[in-house]
Amino acid sequence: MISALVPAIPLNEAASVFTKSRVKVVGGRFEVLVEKMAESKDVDLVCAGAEYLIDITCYKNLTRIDSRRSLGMRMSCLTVQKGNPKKINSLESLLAPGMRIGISTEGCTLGIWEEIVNRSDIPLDTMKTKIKHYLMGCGSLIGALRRSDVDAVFGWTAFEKTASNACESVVLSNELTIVRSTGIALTTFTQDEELCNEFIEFLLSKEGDEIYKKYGWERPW
Amino acid sequence: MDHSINIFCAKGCSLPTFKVASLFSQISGISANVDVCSGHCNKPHAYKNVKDNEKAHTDMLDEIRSSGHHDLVISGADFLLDDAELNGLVLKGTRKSIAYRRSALIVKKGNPKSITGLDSLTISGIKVGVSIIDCLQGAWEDICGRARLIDPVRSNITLFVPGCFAIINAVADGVIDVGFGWSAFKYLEPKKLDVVELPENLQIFRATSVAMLEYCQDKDLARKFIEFILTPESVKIYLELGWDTPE
Repeated sequence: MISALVPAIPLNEAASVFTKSRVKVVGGRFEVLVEKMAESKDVDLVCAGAEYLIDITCYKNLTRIDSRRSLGMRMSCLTVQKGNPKKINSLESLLAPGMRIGISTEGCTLGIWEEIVNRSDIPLDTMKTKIKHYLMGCGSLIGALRRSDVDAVFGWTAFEKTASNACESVVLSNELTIVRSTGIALTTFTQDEELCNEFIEFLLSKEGDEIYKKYGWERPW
Repeated sequence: MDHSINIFCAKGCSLPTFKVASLFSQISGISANVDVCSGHCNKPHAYKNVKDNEKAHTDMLDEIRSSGHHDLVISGADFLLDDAELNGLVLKGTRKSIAYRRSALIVKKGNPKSITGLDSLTISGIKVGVSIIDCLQGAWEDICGRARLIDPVRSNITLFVPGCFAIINAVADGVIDVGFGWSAFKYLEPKKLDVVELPENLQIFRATSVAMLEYCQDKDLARKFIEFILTPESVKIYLELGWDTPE
């Protein structure tokens, strides 16, 4: 199966304890993996950190709408360097002189910065002046924090669990929180629908709950 | 007229933009030409499945690159220009937000399925449509995510379409019962559509923004138009057609 980079972490752990079959999880930039899959058609399952990414695969007839399930939700937050050296504690603190923000132009966090800021009293154009790095996906956001290229990124609370040595979360109010689902779907060309569904059921089981919760996903069901 | 300015505008934002451009031309004597998306979304019955959906998956930025002659872009969501700025299509520091649209449910005139809110979208048999590109990309998820209703609503999604006009047409033609859209859509097709407002805690807001493109021939003139579109007089035109401001 293919998966966006960060969602591949709990998937790999789940795959390692799934006894019915060996599940090979190839993690990476989702859009790139999908492009390759469209050519090779040798993938059974896809997993992405936002539903809109799977919408596109459905539209392209690469995945089946009736097979889609949510594996859990992630909450947006400000993700800062470990130890929070710039003492960021709110959206407003991003406006301090010299602050450098990173946002992603693709993947699961696409556009969340705009929706968060638009729910606040801060003018979008004011926040925009602080955006110094446009990055490509979650791995790239965390990498920028690791290298101290940015002081904060618009990310998920789960980042501090999956990259605990690099970053921590500054949680915003519910009003300023965006929630996106990590979704899974069968491809239209899978050869083993039954096995795929068994793996999905395993991911949604109590055992799966423990794994996903450990890495910061919310399972509201 | 000696000068002219060419603007590429997302079709869903074109109603107020045409008016502002016309006003600009009257006041300045400079012709402001507005082109709207002419891609798949803009075609009649764009909601119908095409033979090769992969090829139909082109967005507003692809169109701008293909035509390669516009000075300015007006986008229905600010974040859509992030990637364009990264790749140099949009010139850094020129992007300004004009006003916002708030999300809403779009239903056929008269609301024949009595849709009252998100819960109605979880009822068996209700047909829901969402856009996979441009200003509405992912909007359904951000709304349903706040309500923790991703799985129940997704199970009723019967149509994915490329762009906001395809959603409007699909609702108007009864292909779907409800689409995720903007409250401002009621001004686009007032005889065909009704809008069901969402409670404030479930609304999302995306900005309609203007920016200079790498193809811009006259930056001073483009700057003049940007300044004009941000004046209270221009913004008022957007507000009269369903846009909001943070205040």
